[in-house]
Order: sequence, then C-alpha cells, then structure tokens
Amino acid sequence: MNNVIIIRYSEIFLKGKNFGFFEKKLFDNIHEKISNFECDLIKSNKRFFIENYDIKNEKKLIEILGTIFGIHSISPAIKIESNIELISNYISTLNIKSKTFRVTVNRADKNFPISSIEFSKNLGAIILDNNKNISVDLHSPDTIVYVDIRETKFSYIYSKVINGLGGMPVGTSGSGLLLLSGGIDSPVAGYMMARRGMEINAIHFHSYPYTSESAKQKVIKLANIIKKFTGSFKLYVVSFTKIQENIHKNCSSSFMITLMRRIMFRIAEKIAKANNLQCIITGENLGQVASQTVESMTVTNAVIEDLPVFRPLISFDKDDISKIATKIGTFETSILPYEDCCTVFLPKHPVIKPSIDKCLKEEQKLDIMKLIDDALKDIEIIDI
Amino acid sequence: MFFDNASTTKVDDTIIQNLKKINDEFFYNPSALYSEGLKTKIFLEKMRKDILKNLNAEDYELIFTGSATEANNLAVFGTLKKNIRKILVSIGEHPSIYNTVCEIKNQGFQVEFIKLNNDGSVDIDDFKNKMTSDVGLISIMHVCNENGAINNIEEIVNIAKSINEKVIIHCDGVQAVGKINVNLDNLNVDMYTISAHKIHGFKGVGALIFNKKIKLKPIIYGGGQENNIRSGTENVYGIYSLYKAVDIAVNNLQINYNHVMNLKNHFIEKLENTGISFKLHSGNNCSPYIMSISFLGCRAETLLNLLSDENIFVGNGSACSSKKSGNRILEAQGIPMSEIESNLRISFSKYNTIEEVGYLIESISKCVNDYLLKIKKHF
Repeated sequence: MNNVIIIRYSEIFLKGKNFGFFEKKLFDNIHEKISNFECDLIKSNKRFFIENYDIKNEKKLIEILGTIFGIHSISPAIKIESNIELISNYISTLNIKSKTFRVTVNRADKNFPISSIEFSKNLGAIILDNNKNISVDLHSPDTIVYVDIRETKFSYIYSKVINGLGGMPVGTSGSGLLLLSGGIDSPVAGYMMARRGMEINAIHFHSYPYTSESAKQKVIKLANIIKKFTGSFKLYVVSFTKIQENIHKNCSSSFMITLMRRIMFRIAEKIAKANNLQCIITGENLGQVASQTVESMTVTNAVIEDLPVFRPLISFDKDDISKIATKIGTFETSILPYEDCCTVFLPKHPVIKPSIDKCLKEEQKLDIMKLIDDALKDIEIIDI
Repeated sequence: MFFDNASTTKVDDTIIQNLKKINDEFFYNPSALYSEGLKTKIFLEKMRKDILKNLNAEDYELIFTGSATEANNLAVFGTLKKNIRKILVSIGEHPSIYNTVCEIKNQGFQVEFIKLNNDGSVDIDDFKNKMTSDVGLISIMHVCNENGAINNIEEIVNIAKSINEKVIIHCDGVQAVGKINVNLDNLNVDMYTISAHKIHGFKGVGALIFNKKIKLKPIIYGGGQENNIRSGTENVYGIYSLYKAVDIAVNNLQINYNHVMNLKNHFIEKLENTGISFKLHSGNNCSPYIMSISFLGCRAETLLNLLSDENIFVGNGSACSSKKSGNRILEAQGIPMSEIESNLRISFSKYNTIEEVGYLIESISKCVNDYLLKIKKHF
C-alpha cells in the first residue's frame, strides 16, 4: 500500500490516431515540471500516476499539476493490491469527518470476485461501523469514497477529485508570438492560447525614456507569472522610441495609435517568421478602446503578410478578463500604474474608424522600412 | 548626483568608520545578564538619552522602532481607545499615517482630514472648524515630505489643547529633525516620530518619542524589550546610526541649513535664467531641503528618466508612494492635474554642492528642451 497521485487526461482522450503524440507531450510536460522532485511518473492505461514520492511533497506536486494544461483532474490516492480483505481493512481505518457519504466502486478488472454494487455496500457498512454520527446519502453525499479496481491487479482508493486546467498539452498546437504590453489583457491572451496547446513567445515594445525601466520590469514579471503555465519562453523587447517620435513628429495625431499598431504588427510578424513562430497573438477585445474597433483591427491586420492573428479575448467582457487575470495571478502586477508605451503619446481624439487608404497616406510621411529595420537591429532577448 | 534626499540619504562616513568599534564593543544582546550585555544596555540608554537631549526632549520617553513607519503605526494603534470619538489628521500626511488612519476608519472610528493651503501647509482655519472637544487624537506632520511645507505645530497644539486639554497630539518629524530647529519642549506635542535614514543614518531604524503621561500599548509582542512596548532585540548598530546622525545633524544644523538654502536659492535663480517654464509648489515657509516643482509640458516620469541618463537622480512625488497613480498631497494643494503630471521633487542634503546644482540646472535645461522639441507638433 502506498500513496500515489492519479492524473486524468482532458480532451486528448478524443484524439484518434494521433493520441500517442498528445499523450507523450503531456507526459513530457509533466515530467519536466516535476523533475525537481524525487518520484516516478508512470503511464498506465490512459492515466498517469506519480508514485514513490515523499508524502511531504504531495501538496506541492498537486499544486504543480494544477498549472499544466491537458490535465482533466487529479486525485491523491492509496494504491493497494486488489484483494477484498486488504481493501476492507484499509477502509476500516478511514476517519470520515463529514456527515454523509457514499462508496463508489468501479470494477475495471472483471475478474475481481465481487460485483461493484455488492462491494460498495460492504465497504459502506464498514465505514458506518467505524465512524460515529455518519449516514449514507447516495444522491448528494458530502464525501464520496472511490474504489477503483484496475486490470493491473491494483486498486486505487481516494475521495478527492481536484479539477485540472483542462485544455491541451503545451506544444501540441504550434507556436505563436504574443504582444505583451503590461496591461491586464495580453497575459490572459497568452494563457488562453497556451491552454489550447500553443507554445508561447512574447514581444514587448519599450519606449524609454517615455516609459521607465520599471515598466519593462513589470512586463518581465508578468512573463514570469504566465511562464508557470506556458513553460519557458523568449521575450523579445523592441525599442519603440524612435518610431513613436517619428510618427508623432510627422503624422496626424489622431492616427498615432493606429500607425503605432500597424508598425508593431509588422515588426511582430518579422520576428515571428524569423523564429519559426506560426501566428501573432494579441489581447485585443472588441470595442474596449478606440484601437479595438473592427475598422481599427482591419487596418492593423492589413499589414500582416502571411501569419494568422489570434485574438482569444475578442468577445470577452473586461470583468471576465480581470477574473482570469486574478485566477492566474497577473492582475495585481498588471494594474501597477507605470506608463505604458500606448499612454504616453495618446492623442486626445484617436481615429475610431480608420481606413487603409488614409493609413497608407500617413505612412508615406515616414521611412517605415528603415524605422522597422533599425528597431529589429536593437532587440533585447530575455529568457523567461 | 543625488537630488532625492527626501527619500533617503547616504550614510555619514563617521558612522561607517565607527561601526567596527561599535561591533567590537557592543555586539552583545542588551538584555543579556553578563557584564558585556549590561554594558551594551548602558550604551543603548546613553544613546536614548542623548537623542532626547539633542531635541530638547529630556522630559520625554523614547522607543526605538524598526522604521518611522512603525513609529507612526505605534503612535496611532498604541493610543487607540474605543472611547476616542474623533481623530483629526492632515490630508497631507505621509502614507504611514494616512493609510493607517484609513484602516482605523474602516474599523469604525471617525476620522476627519484637514485641508491644505496652496503652499502645502495645514489650513489652520479648517483645523479650527474641525477641532471639537470630542477629538481624541491628532496627527499632523512637522515638515511635509512632498513640498517641504513647515506646519506651525505650536499654534496647532495651542488651539487643540484650548479646546480639549486631554487630546493626544502626534507629529511626524521625519523631514524636520536635523534639518530645521526641533525643540520638543516648545512644540509641546505628545508624540513625535523620527527616522535615521533621512539624516544620513541607516535604513530600518526610527523612534517614537512620547510624553511620559501617554500609556502606549504595544503593537509588536515578544520578549518585552523597550519597556514592554516594542519587543525584539534592539538593533544596536541601527540605533547607533540614529543617535550619531541626530547628533551630527543637530550640532551642524545652522551650517547645513545655510548651505542648503544657498543651494536652493542658487537653483531657483539659475533656473529662472534658463527661460524654462516651471512652477514651484513650495511656498515661503518651507524647508529648503525639499522642492516640489513642475516643469510645464513635460511628463514627470519621462523627465526623471532623461535626467537619470545624465546621472542625475530626482524624485517623482514621494518615493514611498510613487507606485500609486495621482498624488493626494499635490491634489490637496489645489494644483491642476497638468502640473501634477509634470511634478518632480528635488531634495538636497548637506553633501550636495553648488557645482552639482550647476550641473543639475544644465541637465534640466537640456532634457526639458529636448523633450519639448520631441513632443512638439510641427503642424
């Protein structure tokens, strides 16, 4: 008899011929994250088990599993030989603190000599005998004692089923470049795409001295928070100062944000392609600010040559985004009020419905290719 | 070049040089019963007495704390009683008082804030209006950390005590001690907070000086040090730095004051000659050590970064609160938002020189002009 942690897969179950690929990726991702602990990760019949760990580390291991996409649920359990007497003996030691309970036996091993229903009844009776002030409730019990009798000649007994993050294992759905601003939305956008199995890298546009070193440190901090979910990645920090100054000097102020975003997209696509990343990801959200109207997004999208642009938060309310940000731990950092590169040159009346023609006309006042080339020469790459 | 001395200061060389000796002789635990522990205790008591003497506070008690923030918290929570009906606090207080009274307000106490004048000092008329016989605790700072305004504490104490002689009056003297004349006997306050690192001592040490009649309740429990009011082994090195810093500052007060006043006058005179558009938010009755100044049309954070590139370090509002947007104190002074957004705090110490101020002016002139040129629209 020993302690184990049962790990159940999420929707990768639904995969057909590629199931092995998804399963292996999830296995590798878990293995990497728990590599600091002395334990065994075992694959067995469409589940993973962590075994031979120090019980003191169980809580920490479960916490880590709670940050890995592709896991449906987690249960700390007792692994015991599939033997009526051994299981009954163990059940008799349980001290159940709640008022009501039920026992659910799942007999995957059809050779086990007693039916699930009958064994449940017997075990329930043992619990009743050994715990005072407790009664059986089959419909909505406070505690369910699960007894999982597997084909492996071993059974698993547990009562906790902890929800995992769901989604797909990171690394099974390609890779993308996230525009990470330092606000509330973009870290959440990165998290959402990683949840669908995408490997994330990020780009940040820095405008020193209009924004301070603290603003950059804030973005690095945010990147480190989402790293917990996405795994290690590269953060490309691009100096945007010259570009902003040039737009400000030469172009109509109402187009400031639109032109900035068109240039940011161009730079992002170049960096993505150069690093074999397959898409651009933004935290844009329809109607939140002037640069997030469908017209604005049309003109920013128009500069992208090949890659798709994913906006996982497009239909979310700000409240919903904030809730996810709080859950993943980025909210408190995101709301630190350092200047970000969009606020410093914010025009009083930004254009809400820009047209591509007008943008092109404004851009003729700039040497765009040179500005972009210069920015690309001066990239700081930070390993997160 | 460091012009953010209201946030902290460089430790005095004398203190650093004497540390070895202090460590050799007085590293012992002052609570220990053997002779060396007792010697350390005697040394500690001598330092306590000398600090009080230097502030003309020989009839007062002094409790060493881990910071002035802790001393301010002790002043509020240590005297808080259920029967205190009303607490009066200036709206211009440091966050260590302001946020503390906001917390007790949440706990159900009635807290009223006193308005500020345009120069940042407490509005005495507003104080008179709000000072009623049911006010049990007052906290008003001696010198404002944002703009250097000096409050007339003696007048405030007279008004308050004439209405309720039992009212407890606390004064945060962190930016006053060692910079302007502090005579606690004359001020007649019940509690007074001081800090080491604002006057070339160490960070992590402060003290609350208080009237012997005040019965302070501890906010930290443990081994019963500091007369059972502030448990925790006494930080002898930090306390030495506070004692020595007070001693040096008080005994050189006039020389340093004249020197800093000279720096400030020189700064303003030279700045006027540059033709740069600026507005000074520190009035006539203020400490020359702190200047609150807006460089019109420049965003403070950007200007701070540009100056930092020139190796000049200035403050952006209060360093303790620079992470919070807006600025409560400048707003209370009635300063328009455009001037708050362009506000820097330039604060001097005895170590700054006329040459440094010359370079400061040169750099401000260069940075402001470059900045304005870059953000200017050409059409």
